[in-house]
This record gives sequence, C-alpha cells and structure tokens, in this order.
Amino acid sequence: MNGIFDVLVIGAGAVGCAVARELSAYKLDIGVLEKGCDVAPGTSGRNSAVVHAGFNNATGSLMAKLCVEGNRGFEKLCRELDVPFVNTGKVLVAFNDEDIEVLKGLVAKGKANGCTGLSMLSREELYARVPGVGGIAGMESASTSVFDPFLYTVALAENAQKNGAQFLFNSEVVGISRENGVFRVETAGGVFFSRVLVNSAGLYADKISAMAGVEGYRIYPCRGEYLIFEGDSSLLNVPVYPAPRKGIGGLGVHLTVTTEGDILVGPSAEYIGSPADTATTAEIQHKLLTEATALLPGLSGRVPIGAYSGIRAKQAPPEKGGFFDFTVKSEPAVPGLINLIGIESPGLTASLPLAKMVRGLVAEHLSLEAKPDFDPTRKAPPCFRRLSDGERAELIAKDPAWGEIFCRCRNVTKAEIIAAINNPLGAKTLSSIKYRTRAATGRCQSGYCMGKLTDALVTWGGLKPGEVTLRGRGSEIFRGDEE
Amino acid sequence: MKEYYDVCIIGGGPGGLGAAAGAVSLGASVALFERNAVTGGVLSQCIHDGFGLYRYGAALSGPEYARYALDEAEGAEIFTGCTVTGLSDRELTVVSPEGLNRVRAGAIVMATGCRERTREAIMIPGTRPAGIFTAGTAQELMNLRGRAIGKRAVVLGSGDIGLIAARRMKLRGMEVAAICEARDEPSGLTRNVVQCARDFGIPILTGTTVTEIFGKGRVSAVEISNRRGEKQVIECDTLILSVGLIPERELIPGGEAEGIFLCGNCKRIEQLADLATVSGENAGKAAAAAALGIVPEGEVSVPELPVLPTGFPEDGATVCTGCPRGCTVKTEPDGRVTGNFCPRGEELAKNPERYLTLTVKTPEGKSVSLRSARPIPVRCHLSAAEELKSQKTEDPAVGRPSGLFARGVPMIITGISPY
Repeated sequence: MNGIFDVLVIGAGAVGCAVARELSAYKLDIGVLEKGCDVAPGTSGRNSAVVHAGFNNATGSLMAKLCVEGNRGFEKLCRELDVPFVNTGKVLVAFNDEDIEVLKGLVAKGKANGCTGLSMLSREELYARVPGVGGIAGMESASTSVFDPFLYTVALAENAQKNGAQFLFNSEVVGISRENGVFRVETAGGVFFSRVLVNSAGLYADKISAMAGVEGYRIYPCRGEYLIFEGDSSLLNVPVYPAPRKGIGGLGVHLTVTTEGDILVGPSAEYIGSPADTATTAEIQHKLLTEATALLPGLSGRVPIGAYSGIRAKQAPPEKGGFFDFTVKSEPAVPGLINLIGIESPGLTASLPLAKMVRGLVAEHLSLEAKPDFDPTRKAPPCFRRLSDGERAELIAKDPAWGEIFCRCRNVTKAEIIAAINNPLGAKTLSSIKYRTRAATGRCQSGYCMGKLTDALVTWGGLKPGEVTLRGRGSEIFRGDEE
Repeated sequence: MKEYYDVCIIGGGPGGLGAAAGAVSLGASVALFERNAVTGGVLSQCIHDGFGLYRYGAALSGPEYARYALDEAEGAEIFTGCTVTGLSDRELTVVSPEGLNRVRAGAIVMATGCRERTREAIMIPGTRPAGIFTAGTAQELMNLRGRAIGKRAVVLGSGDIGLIAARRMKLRGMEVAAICEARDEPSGLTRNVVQCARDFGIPILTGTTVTEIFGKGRVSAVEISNRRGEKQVIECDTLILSVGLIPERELIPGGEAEGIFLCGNCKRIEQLADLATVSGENAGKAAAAAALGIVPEGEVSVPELPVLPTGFPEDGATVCTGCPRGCTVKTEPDGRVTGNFCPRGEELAKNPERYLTLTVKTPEGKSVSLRSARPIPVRCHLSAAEELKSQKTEDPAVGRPSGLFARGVPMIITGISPY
C-alpha cells in the first residue's frame, strides 16, 4: 500500500464491520477507523439482539426489503462466522379485539413485505406456546431469531481482518478534507488518506457527513432502556411482545430471550439531547419492571442482573415523528463519499444486505477485482460452557488452563480469558473480554471475577495496572498509588 | 481423587472447613472441593481482626482464623483449584487443571457461601462507569492484589462490611466522603461505627441512599437523597456498595434435597465466621451420619453470644477494644469515666488504642497482611499507615515480624496473598 487506502470505513459497528468484510473479498486496501477501543462500542452493542422478520417496516421501503433479505441469510451467515444463532420465533400477544386487528394488520403487512412464517394464534395456541403469559390471541413470527451482536460484530471484524482489512481503534475522526480526488482524514490516531469513504458512524453519521462536505442530515438520538434478568427456559424461551398500541402512556415493553438464555426487558423510546447519553433513569427502569411483570407474572419477585440503554440513530425528528427509511447514498456533491444515515432497527438484521449495497456503490468508484483466496469463514474459539463433559475433559488434557474457572457465574475458563485478551483485533479491556466470553455478565456482575480478569489483563495483556480499563481511556479500574 | 467419599463438601470457607472437621470426627471419608487456590473463603481477604473470639478464644485476623479452621479439618482430603460444575443425584462433576472428575458421595455438604447484592439488583439509575465496586470485591482488590481502587469514595451501606471497607480505604490513603445508610441507625456493630467511621471522621448519613451515579468513563459523582427528598451531589471517583449478601445455591436449583446439607452463609447469612463454622460442623456431622447410616449425635451448640450493641454509640461514649469484652465507656460531664469493667478502660476511654491492620507488598509485588504487635493510639493510625505506605517486606513468613514498624511498634505478618 502506498499510504492511500482504497476504502476507509468510519465506524466499527455491525454495519461497518460487515462492509469491511464484504469489501475484503476484493483486492482493495481497506481500513476501519473506530473512535472506541473495540468493535461494537455504540448501538451495535446495546440492542435487543433480534433478527427481525420484517413485518414492522413500511411496505416498499429499503428497511423492509433489506430486513427480509437479511433475515433469510442470517442463519447461514452465523454458521460461516461460527457465532450463536437461535431460531426462537417470536410471539406477539393481543389483550383485546383492537390488538387482534393490529396483529392481523401486521401479518398482512409482513406478507406484502415478503416475510414467511407469519400466522395468527388462537387463545389455546397462544397458551400452548407461551404458558407464562396472558392474552386472548396472538401472532407467531416463525422467522424471527435471536443472536449475539457482540460475537457477531467481533466475528465480522476478525474475518475482515483475516482477509486483509485493517482495524484502527482509538481513531476518532476530527476532520475530513479532499485533495486531488483523495480524502484526507484527520483522526485522534493519525492522518489517513483514502479514495473512498464509507460513513457508517451511526449516531455521529450526520457530523461525519458534514465534515466531508455534505450537510443537511440530522440524527436525533432516541434512547431505549433495558433491564436484564437471569434466564430460565421454563419461564420464557421465546421473545414475547405485546401487540403495538399507539399513545397509551405505557412503554409496550418487550421481552426477549438471549442466546445465553437471559431475558431482556425493553426497550423504551425517549428522544434525548446527546448521542452519548446512555444513562438509565429511575422512572423508566421502574416502568420496565412493572410492565414486564404484568406481561410475565413469573418475573415477579426476581431482581435484575443488569441494565443498559442503547440509542437509536433516528432521522425522524421528535416533533414530527413519522417514518424515515435507511439512507444509503453515494453523494454526488462529494464523489467517493458513501453515506449510511439513520441506520436504526432493523439495521443489525439488514447488516449484510446493507454491506452488499455499499459494495455496489463502491464499485462505481473503484474497480473490484475478486481475491481468489478470500475466505468468508471464521472459526470461533471453543466455549467451555457449551461443551459436553467429555469435550471439556479433552480440552483440559491438552491445556490445564481449560480446567481453571475464572467466571463462575458463566463458567468461563482461564483459557478462554487468555484467548479473549489475545484477540486478533488487539482490544484489551474488560468489556472486550465480556463481549467475547460473557464473563462478568452474570448474577454477581464481576464481584468474584473482577480481581482475576484485571490481573489477567496485566499478566497476559501486558498492561500496567493503571492501564486496565472498563472500555478504554477514561474508564480506568485502578486509580491512586499502588502500594 | 477417589471415585467415592462418604461426605463431599463443596466450598472451603469457614463453613466448609467446619463441616470437614465434623464429618471426620464421625469417621467418614471426606473430600472438600474449593475453587480458589487456597481454603479460607472470604476470610483470606479479611485482614482485620475480631474473628474467632468464640471458637478459638482469640481475636484473630481472617487468614489466621482460616489456618486454625484448616487445622481442625485434618483427616479430610482438601482439593483446591477444583470447581464443582454440576451436581446430580449425589454425583459431583469436578473441574480442575488436572482434569474433569466424577465423584460420588454418600452425602453432600454445600458450603458455597454467598454473593454480594449488586448495583443492578437495587436498580440505581445513572451511568455505568468504572469505579463501582461491591465492598467485598474492593476488599479483595486492595488486600489480596494490592490495587489502588480510587481516590475518593462514597460507601452505600453501614453494616459491618461497609464500615470495615471505609476504614480500609482510609488506611490506604483514600478520602471517604460519607457512608450512606437507608435506615435511621447504622446497622453495623457500635464497635465498628466507632473504630471505622467516627475515629476516622467519616460521616454516616442515615435515612439516605444513593439515587444516581454520574460519570462517563469513571465515576465522577453520586447523588444522594434522604427521606425528606433533599438531594445532594457528592463528587467522588469510587462508589462502594455494601447492600446485602445473597446465599449461593445455584448448584441445587430445585432447592434442598435428601442427602444434601447446607451450612454457613449459603444456608443463612451468619454474623460471625465462628457461627458459620459451628453451622458447618453440624452439617458435616449430619452428613456423615447419613452417609454411614448411623444415628446422628446431638448438635454442636451455638456459643452463647453476648448481645453486641449496634448503631451509633451514645453521645460521648466509646467502645474500648482493649479486650474482647468491648465495654462501652463514657466520659460523664463531670469528667468521671463510667462503664469500664477494668481500670485500663478509664485510660482507654480518653486515649483509645487499637491494633493496626493493613497490607504491604513484597518487592515481587505479593500482598502481605500485617497486624501491629500491640495496640497503637487510634489518633496515630492514619499517620502510621502513611509511614508504612510503599515500604516492602521481604521473605514474609506468617506469624513472624515483617521488619516494618508503625510508630516504633513491630508489624507482624498475619497472612500472605496466594496471588
């Protein structure tokens, strides 16, 4: 490479990493600039982790088209990337006749959008499907699934990297200019040059676009809070949503199961001032708890093991509301700038189709010559807790580090922690370990493993104690003078 | 590791070690599985003293108590670095660096202790920055791994665990802005209210709780609120939570079953390690009796404990810690000293003295816990801790002098961290 990238992708969320992987199949020099210290630090790491069917999107929209397309290809993609995927289906619940009509409308809209596996459920069928929930009728979406967005994004990135893409963390973009048909991108980690820029900066895509010379886009951050409960498949093993209702004052809270079996409650929807404000609020946290317990009485008396909030990059302003489709655009005013604006739900589901669309737009600027040795597959490291006793014994015999349990809530071993610390992308924080192993996300919330994990980052990550962070500079775990 | 033991004990803290002693005493074959590198459980990190007053007649530090309890368990096979990952019909699956073993048991004692209630469980809103620790985790990081966890802390919870954590942070050179307590009185022992909070000038704010956490990457402040709805923002970089303990029974999701005997904190949160050990001894005996098919003997009785006062001390009173009696000594307005059982109490009421406990490191970075050979005036503790800061001790041996001195008083080694 002569110092000029062919493509620089701004933002290492799921879409940015999918774009990098898609383009890494061609003889191109690709870089991904990420302001955080790891992939998926923003919205891609804070969502419901659902592969949507597409019945919620306006017929004829790009969102609907790419959601359905993405849903169809997701299981195969997860197999290629060796990441968890569970086709749980999803049930929407009607509590009155009006709800039933709404659900019938969704079935019709879904069919118009090309979804499969949509059907209405009678009261008996509903009860058989989700006995812990009330309701008078329901709707089943058989093609809805759940996945692990952290492992998914990590896998996309690792696969892109294996095929030649470079990941540059701690590289917040602060200025973009253009000279002689080449973009000059100034970042916190240095200056880079590129022929094509793909703006997948999510909540900051409007600002990046403006830096690159295309103003006029505006992102309105809309926050969704969640609660996490420890799962219990006898309590819930399929996502359950109440039928959507307009203007009721309540949140219409959703229950989603994760690939770990935990239960996510949420999200709420609240326009906020800052794209960085991921705080949770007392008012909404309590509403989530109340509504979740009303929908699933078996949750009563349980306490959450976690809470988080994710922010949607909405183009629809709060006063006007309404529907805004994905913007995926090769900007005529700035040739070589490809903008992805307003990638909110179903952005994750549509991540691969979005990447293919971007590839098509990149092909208008650069000649795409396929790499004969491109390998779309990625092999995950073994995951102790998902193995049989026999498989576990085999691993321990090869390496005793498989027999030492560091995170006892999730049964994560020393071997996996070391592998997570030595990940190919070079991310070395507590959250990088959490993303890759689920350690520190259980009922004790790292009470028992914080010491082991932070020591591991020092011992195997080569960090000084003062460099051990939760998620990058500014979030140091240790502060003050060591003894 | 054999394939069968009469009694298998899961957990090697004060409860599990007591169970081992109890089961061995009835002639059972006993295996104890402990996931950490050493037995002792939470005691390994409790470098302060006050343990064992009833079981061993001495005010020991946690590591010393753990050694006594381990001695009592002689005759049991102790397996450290072994985690029980599954339990089904009296068959344990044990994972360790040596391999995966299936061990059958005649009867099982669960001594799996407890975990700390988290910020998430009590749903404190706000951001999720670094710098939030439950008290036990903070204690482990400071005492066993020698870490500096922050510069200025707020503590939520005035039970003994929160109070001890507050004092430990002061001795580490941290500021402790306040201890918040939702109830109207501190819930810890008066002795600890005095020697952990009052003697270090840490205010205890009752009827108050933490209602929001601020900070982007690291804690920058907390909002506290009282019952009158008054709010205050306290700048800090560390929030310590001491808001309750929850028994750990995840290995038996179906609850107690025949052949499984619970003891210690996983059965019921105990106030003292001594009580956990008694609970363990009884469970061990019952398990052994069940496994051997003999009639269980009478239970070891819980020692009769004097009622120890909790909450704020009376105005002008102090708790003398010259001996385990812990008299509440008061200076009357006319200058007379009352409440002391012995003559020393009068002097101690005016000039309280206490053993100083803290940690230092070896040149290689290992944490070593120390206790002063004699009580030191309380007013000198902070400066003594400052004096010892950054000093190292070489070739530590438990029970021996460290070569370090606090105000001229030798500091004796009470424990060496396994890390």
